[in-house]
Amino acid sequence: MSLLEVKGVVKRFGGLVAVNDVSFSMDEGERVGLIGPNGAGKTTLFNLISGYYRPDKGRIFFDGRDITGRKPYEITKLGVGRTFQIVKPLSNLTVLDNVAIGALLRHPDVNEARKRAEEVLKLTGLYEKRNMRAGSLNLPEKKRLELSRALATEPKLLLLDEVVAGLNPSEVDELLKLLREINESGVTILMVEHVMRAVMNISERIIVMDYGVKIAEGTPQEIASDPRVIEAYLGREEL
Amino acid sequence: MLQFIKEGLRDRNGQYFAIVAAVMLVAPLIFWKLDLPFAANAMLLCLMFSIMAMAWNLLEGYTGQLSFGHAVFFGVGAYTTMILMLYYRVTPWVGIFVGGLVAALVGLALGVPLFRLRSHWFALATIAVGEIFKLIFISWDYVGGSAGLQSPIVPEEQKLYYLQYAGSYVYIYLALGLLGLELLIMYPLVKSRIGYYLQAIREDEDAAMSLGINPFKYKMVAMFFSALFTGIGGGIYTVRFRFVDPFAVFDLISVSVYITIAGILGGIYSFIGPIVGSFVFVPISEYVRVYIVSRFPRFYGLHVFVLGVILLAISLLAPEGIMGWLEKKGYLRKREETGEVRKE
Amino acid sequence: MIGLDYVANAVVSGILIGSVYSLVGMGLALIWGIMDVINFAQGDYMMLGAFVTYWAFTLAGVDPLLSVPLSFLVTFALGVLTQRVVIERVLDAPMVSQITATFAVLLMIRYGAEAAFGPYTKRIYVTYADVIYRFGTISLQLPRLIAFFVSLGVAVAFYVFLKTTYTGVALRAVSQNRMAAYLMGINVRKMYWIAFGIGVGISAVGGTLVATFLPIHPEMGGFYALIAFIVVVFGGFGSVFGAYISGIIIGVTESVSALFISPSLKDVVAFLLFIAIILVKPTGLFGTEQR
Repeated sequence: MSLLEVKGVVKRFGGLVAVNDVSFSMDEGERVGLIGPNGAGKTTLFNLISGYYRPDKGRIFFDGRDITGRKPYEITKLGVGRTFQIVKPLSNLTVLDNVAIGALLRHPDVNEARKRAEEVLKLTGLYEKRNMRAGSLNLPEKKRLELSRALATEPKLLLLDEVVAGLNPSEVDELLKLLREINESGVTILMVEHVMRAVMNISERIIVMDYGVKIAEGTPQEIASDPRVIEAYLGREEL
Repeated sequence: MLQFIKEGLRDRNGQYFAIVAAVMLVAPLIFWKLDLPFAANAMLLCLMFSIMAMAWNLLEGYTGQLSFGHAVFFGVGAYTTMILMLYYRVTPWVGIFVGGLVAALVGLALGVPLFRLRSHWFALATIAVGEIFKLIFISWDYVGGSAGLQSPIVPEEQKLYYLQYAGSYVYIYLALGLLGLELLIMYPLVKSRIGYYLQAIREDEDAAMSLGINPFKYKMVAMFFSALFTGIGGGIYTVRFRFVDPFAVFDLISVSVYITIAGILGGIYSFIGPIVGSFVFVPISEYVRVYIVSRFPRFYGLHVFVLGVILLAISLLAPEGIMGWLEKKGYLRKREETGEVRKE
Repeated sequence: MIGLDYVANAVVSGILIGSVYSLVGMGLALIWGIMDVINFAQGDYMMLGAFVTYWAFTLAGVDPLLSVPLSFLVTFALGVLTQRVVIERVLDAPMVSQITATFAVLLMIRYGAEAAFGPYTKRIYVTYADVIYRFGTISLQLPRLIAFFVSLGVAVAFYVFLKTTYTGVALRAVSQNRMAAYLMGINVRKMYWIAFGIGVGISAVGGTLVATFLPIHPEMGGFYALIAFIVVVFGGFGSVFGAYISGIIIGVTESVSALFISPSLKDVVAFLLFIAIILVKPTGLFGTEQR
């Protein structure tokens, strides 16, 4: 049975169709990349899955349950963790508290949650900065904080929105290694990414979107040689 | 228990707390011995506003929802205590708490629509709610309309039942007890999961939701306790002054704005900031009011103008209040080290 | 039983007073739309407009209608001053400082005026105050009729200003995307003070109009700020023209409901309408979902 199933979702903003009849599914334990040019509707799709937007049409199933139109916090409780492309640190709280608040979801006791948070921070490499104000971190660190916080909610499915962007090559490799570890511990990963090297490296399967529509799906090798994908990318100036 | 106190006294903050508590307990006796009714009255007001500003700050400092409408809860608490006493002969020992509960229920009812508004608009809506409550009570005969309600002087043997004593001395102990109760409830609350969740909501609601937090639910929790203790503050007002009227208890300036300034002056990112703020602001504002009204009787409203200047000065110069300033100057331990939050 | 002619009268007088509510609401909506700041003192600038008119009339015999530009300019200047001295300092500050700072301005204007002018109700007696026109069963008081047309004129002029002048287009650009506007070379800070000045100036014109047929008082701003707030929420927050329409709707609601309940509770009805709106459609009547 698939862990996530997206069936024909549509999202409109006024006259613009941001996501148009997109369907795909993910099995437990998979690593799937979601790529596409700017404005292709990737982040909108994330917001639909995680409940920040309500689809105009279509249904979304997670872990056998219909989660269409459920609130973001309900979806988090069911086991979907997410990061934000535009980072949203709880700026005036410490790094540790940011992550502890995520851990409180499964560990209502504050001390227990803080302990869990410390473990997560050791894993993600932010432990040394645990007592800093989250707002004073630099951007790559904030991205890692996003990841730490989502991990602390102990998700079955992790939605990562451009966590690699802005990192230097060695940091990218480090983070990819971490994501593999997380994945091997049983967490399914769906990631939006612009850094091709990263997404091609880590994904078992890739979904390509353009103008709100899913235009291709397959292994990294298949995608790299798909003429529609090449056109979607090379047909534009920006990439 | 003894062990707990011993351990508490080993901590520096615990020692400060013990000293302040001792001073508070002895002060009314001194005021009474030296016959200083004004000082006693000022202390009572400070305590009343401490209770309310701390309650207010659960919504503002912790949850990020600024209210200019706490007069609503103050007024509802005051009226409930009065009506129970006057119409149903219920002792205020009970009535004060019922008043708090009724205020809390009103808070929950208001929270349903108001928490749909973004922060600025929430603040503006709370002003509107205050004015609306005043209008309703003015034209509501059951609660005495614009004339308000007054409780009669009771004979000696009923003084304890109706909590009726001359001067402010006895009420200071009442207020101290209630402030103590509030600390006992609020401190564990803000240190618990709920406290963390409230702060997450203050910082970023979208991020909070991604961590499994239902912002509306926790705002309602904050509203409940905030309104509860503000209503209790209203009950103290009723027993002390034996008179409630809509213009006094639902007043934007002398209730809601006083609470707000006390909270902000003390420091909204500190747990005890609002208490510090109340003890600094209330005496100053009372002095300014009395001084200006007696010195410049022709310039009615001048003292509120001065309040405006004070509020503007805090907003521009020291938005973190006294506690934030003390911390910056290094007189207090940094909140990072104590596990509490810090706001830039 | 309330006759139809009473209702018709109430509707008409609601439209007339509503057009004044619209002006106060438009000012608030403009400032919010451009700057993301709520001016808590909005009603108090309106009060200043009313008092400018009162003093011009009382001291120099200036007809209230001639003082429309005067009260606009005086409050415009005060608004720019407020923007420069107070608002600009808190634009990047935490939300709480923004709110408390503009609220402090409210206290200073309202009670400064009270200290200066005295806590008394004042009234202007113009010669045409009691001229009444009758159309069938509907009777119209001339000053209220004038107020309606002046308000309409101000709204139209403002619309033309936004659509045709460079400043107007720049203002709209800032309200849609501050960063993009900045990158296009628009002086955003200048737009802020223009917006704040015009925002309070428009409301002050409302004050001038009210002064021709209602008593004025230093604390009157509290009531009108409340109405303006309901108007703006109703009209869809930053929407200036939504505010104009909803001002009239609120005016009619109040004046019709005053037929059925105690007139002192008519503001309660407007408020209940407001609660209903935020429960049913939190983005306001003319607002849309934002991406």
